[in-house]
Amino acid sequence: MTKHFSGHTAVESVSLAVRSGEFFTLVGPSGCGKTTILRLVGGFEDPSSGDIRLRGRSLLGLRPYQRNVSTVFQSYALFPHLTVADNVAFGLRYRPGVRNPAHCVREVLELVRLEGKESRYPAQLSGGEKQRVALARSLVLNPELLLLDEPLSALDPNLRKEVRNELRDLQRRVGITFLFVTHDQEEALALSDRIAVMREGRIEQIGSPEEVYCRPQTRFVAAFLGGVNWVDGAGVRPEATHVSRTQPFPETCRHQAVIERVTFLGDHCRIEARLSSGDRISAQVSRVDGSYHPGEPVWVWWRAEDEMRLPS
Amino acid sequence: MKRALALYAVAAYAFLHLPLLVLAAFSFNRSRFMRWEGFSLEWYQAAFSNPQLMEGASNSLLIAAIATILSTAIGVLGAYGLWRRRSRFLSASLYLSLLTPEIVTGVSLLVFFQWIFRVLDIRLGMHTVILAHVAFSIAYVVVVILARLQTMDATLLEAALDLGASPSEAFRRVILPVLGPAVAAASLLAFTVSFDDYVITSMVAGVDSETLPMAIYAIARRGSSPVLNAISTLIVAGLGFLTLASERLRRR
Amino acid sequence: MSFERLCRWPAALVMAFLFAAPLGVIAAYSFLTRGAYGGVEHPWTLDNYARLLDPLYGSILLRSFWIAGVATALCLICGFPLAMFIARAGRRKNLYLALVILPFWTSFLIRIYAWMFLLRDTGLVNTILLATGWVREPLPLLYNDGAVILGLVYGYLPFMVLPLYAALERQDNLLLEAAADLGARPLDVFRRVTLPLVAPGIRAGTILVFIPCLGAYLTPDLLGGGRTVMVGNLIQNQFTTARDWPFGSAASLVLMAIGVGLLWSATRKEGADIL
Repeated sequence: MTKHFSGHTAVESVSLAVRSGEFFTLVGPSGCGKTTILRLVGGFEDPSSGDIRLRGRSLLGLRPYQRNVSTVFQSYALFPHLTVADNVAFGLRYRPGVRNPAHCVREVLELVRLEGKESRYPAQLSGGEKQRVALARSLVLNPELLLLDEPLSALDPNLRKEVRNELRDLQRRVGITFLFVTHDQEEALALSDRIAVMREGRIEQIGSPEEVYCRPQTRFVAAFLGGVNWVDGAGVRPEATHVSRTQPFPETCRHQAVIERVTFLGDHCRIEARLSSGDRISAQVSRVDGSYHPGEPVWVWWRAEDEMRLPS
Repeated sequence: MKRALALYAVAAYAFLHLPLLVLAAFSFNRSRFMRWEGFSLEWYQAAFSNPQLMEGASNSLLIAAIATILSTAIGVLGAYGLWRRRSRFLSASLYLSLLTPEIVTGVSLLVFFQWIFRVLDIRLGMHTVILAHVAFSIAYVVVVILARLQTMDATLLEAALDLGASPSEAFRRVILPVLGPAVAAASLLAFTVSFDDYVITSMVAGVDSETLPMAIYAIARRGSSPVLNAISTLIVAGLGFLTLASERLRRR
Repeated sequence: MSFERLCRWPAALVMAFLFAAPLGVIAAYSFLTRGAYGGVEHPWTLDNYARLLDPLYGSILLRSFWIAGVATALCLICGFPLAMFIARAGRRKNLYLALVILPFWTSFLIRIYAWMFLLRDTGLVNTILLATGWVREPLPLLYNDGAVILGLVYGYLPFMVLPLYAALERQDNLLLEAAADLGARPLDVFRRVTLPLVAPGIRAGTILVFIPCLGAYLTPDLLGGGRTVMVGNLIQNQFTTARDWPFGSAASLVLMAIGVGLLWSATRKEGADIL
């Protein structure tokens, strides 16, 4: 589908298929259209052209309250005048078949480990707890698809990793299809079954984390997901770039270089060196693999299979 | 510099507040002249037994109560409607109504009612005053509610829709409760504006619907009267209290 | 019809019937002729507008501009230092602001009456002046243009202080410190940094005070002694004693046009956000 706003095109002829039960992530820099796609699927915007199908049925023309799709908002959007339990139970009123709403609420709160907090108000919760309430509120409705708009970006960085793992486990346990949006490539790689890398309204590549990271199809994807050293038209990841004082084996791609800067980053060092050809590279060297000094002449090498040859 | 500003501020606040404070002080004066002759509540008693003032007060209260309920309800809905979808006519007319001099609003309503009444054969009376008050109060309500809506998290509405609520259910179950304090503040504001109005009311009131401001005006025109001091102090205290409450609510 | 579209309708209907339509009616009346029994009659005419140029009425218009202008200028002069004080007040800012606004929201009528009480011949001011021997006879403080101006300044000062305060508050203190650091003396800093930044606030405050002052009715009526001091009084007169509705309508429209015109030209420049 395509989505135009006055003045610019947010989404340009994007096609993608998410599989049932999958954790699918849209990742890209801000403004790339990933949130727009989420809003289109959620029903908050209508596509300028194209279609959205859920299990074969088109969602076009259906308002958000008519779709079996639920959104977890970046700001969590918890209703401040309702308790946790009332927040979670909010949407149950519109599901006629539910016989025991209180029971459903209790179950899902246990699932997100918030049992005991039913009568708290959102203002009394921490960021992580609010996020879990937002999740619970959507999960209790058993949607066919859960949309998550950067749910971790408002959390403290140290909290983020822990919550990330919980989220992944939750998705596996519950089996609901997740469509996740983030601008953080590490999150995307850690959480997803498949990733779509986006740029300026278009999808650059779709694949598993390993595929898009190790076998990027464009320079943008390669550079977005990690560092890249460009030498002679090929790209190499810094972690695949090695530094050595002795001459490396001939079957490797090897260059002589002079170290320009060594940055100690705790568990590893980043070594920036300049090749004799003039190119600059960055190598990631584990701290325990030896220490190097600026000005030192060294060999820089990598395996041929680690090279990525990409069109610009 | 700071000293000078502080001194000036004291003078400025004195200018702003002394007139009313003096009025209040003299309302407790036993004498009707400028000499202080002892503390007395007799003017307050006189005010409460003054039939013109009391009838005006009850009319004003009734009119303000009805006009407030109507203008708050219409204004809240209107503000929400404007927040969701722009309407140039509504925005422009609300904005313009705040700008229009009261005398112009008053005469235009007078002329309009007279014109209609040739067809419908009704006189000016309480009902025309109430209609006029509703008309000019709505803008105040809309301003307060719109301001609150604009600082509210807009995703609250989307979340409610997402969870299955229709737009009217979302308004009723989420927006309205969140707006609560602002609605209360707006209604207090509408009440104050309505209760105090003289200019517009005087143009569209009938013979039997004199409001308190109209009664006060009549007495003030003739000269001063300590009874007027008393009733004025009561009104200022009352409306001042309502305004304070409204501001408190608006900031919640 | 969706709920959200319907929400607007009650308000729109009220504004259409009780605001726009009445204005339309007086617009129409302004081109008609005064009827024998005080209503309106047919010949369509521009006479009513022409009469406004008549020296008798034109002078009222001019006097209204004069009074409103002086009142606005006084509000600016008196309000600016107060706004500065509040902007520098730190934690008590909101309290000081509230103290400025609160009187305005009590009762406009009573606040005018308070000045009548103070200024009349047997009022407090004269009583004090007589008692202390400063004057032999009571001063005619009331029922003149000066009293009207005083009343207008008293009534509309908050409308000048608020925008000035808003503009001053936005001014970053760091800018002032940077200017001083670069060698500017306090008066220079004021002239070259503060004043340009505050200009939008001054524009907004001027508009917010001048337009209501121009259209004032109650203040000149009570403090001016029932003479036809300003346009507002003229208009009210036409619809009550003089019974010349078309002329009153024309005056009303001219008053509105001036107000709307001033506002429109002010919002062309920036500063609209302050309004």
